[in-house]
Amino acid sequence: MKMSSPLMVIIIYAVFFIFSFSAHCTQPDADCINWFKAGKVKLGKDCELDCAILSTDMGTFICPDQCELLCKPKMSKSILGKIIYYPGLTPAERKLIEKSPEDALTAFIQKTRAEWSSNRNFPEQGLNDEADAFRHFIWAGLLTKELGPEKAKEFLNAHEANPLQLDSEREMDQFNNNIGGSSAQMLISNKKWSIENLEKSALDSLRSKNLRVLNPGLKIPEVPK
Amino acid sequence: MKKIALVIGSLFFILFSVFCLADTFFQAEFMKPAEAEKKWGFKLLNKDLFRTGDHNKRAWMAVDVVKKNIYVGKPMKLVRQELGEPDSYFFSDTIYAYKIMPFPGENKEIWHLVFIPDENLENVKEVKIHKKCCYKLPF
Repeated sequence: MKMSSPLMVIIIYAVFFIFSFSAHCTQPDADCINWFKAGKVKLGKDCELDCAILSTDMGTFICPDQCELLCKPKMSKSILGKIIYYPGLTPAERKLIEKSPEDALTAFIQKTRAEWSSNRNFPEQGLNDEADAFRHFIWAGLLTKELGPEKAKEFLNAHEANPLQLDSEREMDQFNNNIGGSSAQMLISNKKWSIENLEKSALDSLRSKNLRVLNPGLKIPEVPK
Repeated sequence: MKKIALVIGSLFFILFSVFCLADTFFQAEFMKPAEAEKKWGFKLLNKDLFRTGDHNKRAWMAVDVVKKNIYVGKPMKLVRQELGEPDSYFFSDTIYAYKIMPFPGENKEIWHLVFIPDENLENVKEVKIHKKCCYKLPF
């Protein structure tokens, strides 16, 4: 079965939309959430019982039926928000996924594209090397194109809120993210946007030492592979 | 009709794949410890030797690390302290990855050792030997 890339992307978005939407069907009624909060019921073993005996009025008489939902520990806002949790996400990334699951999917797809692009151009890729700088540049560029500079920055900064990273590594990543984002904006405003041009720009920046690389040593290809 | 069936089928397939993604990694092949031992043999982990960064001497020590789950449950920072600076990349900068064999050339099979953190990014949740090369981009 041969499926074209745009169709594949549309289908993936459709599935994620359904997932994001379906979560709203299982959310308690807004009035009931306020009713529950006003009742100061504590989550825990007796929650459902305490909730069920709260007094109701004309606006909240349906709420005792929702006690099971109201007593559940606070879950992710959408099913999508839960299922795209991957190991290794920073706390800031988790919050962003919950807040904007659709954008998080875009970020994930563009991250995979950037990794793929980096792997193609630097098969020997490691950490803090030219491949690393290239990957961050490309991911920032693709995100800027897909989400706009502000949201792209939100996702990129969330990714860098990584307690396991050294300051020097974080600075390198942020520096290269900024250059990648600016290059994408320039390509867009000059109507020269394409992934190939973004890759060219990344390789040029590496060659002219405009990207930060802590452990240099990889061969930089002349043109994107 | 066929097109609709195709689209619905694809939706279910992707839906299923997405559920699978939650527990595994996208496009990731891991080697079982027994397989790794068969491939590279086995030697006790020598942290000093591992830290020197000689990719010719790391594979059999990686077998010891995954076979005995040496670092599982221990702080991620201890991995860095004992095994040195990570020199490879897998999925995210939060996952420490170490090359365990010399680069064999483009599009040739290569494996590395990866330390996956827990949800709080504090302790090691899993240690695996991951195939680094030769996946295909689906989109």
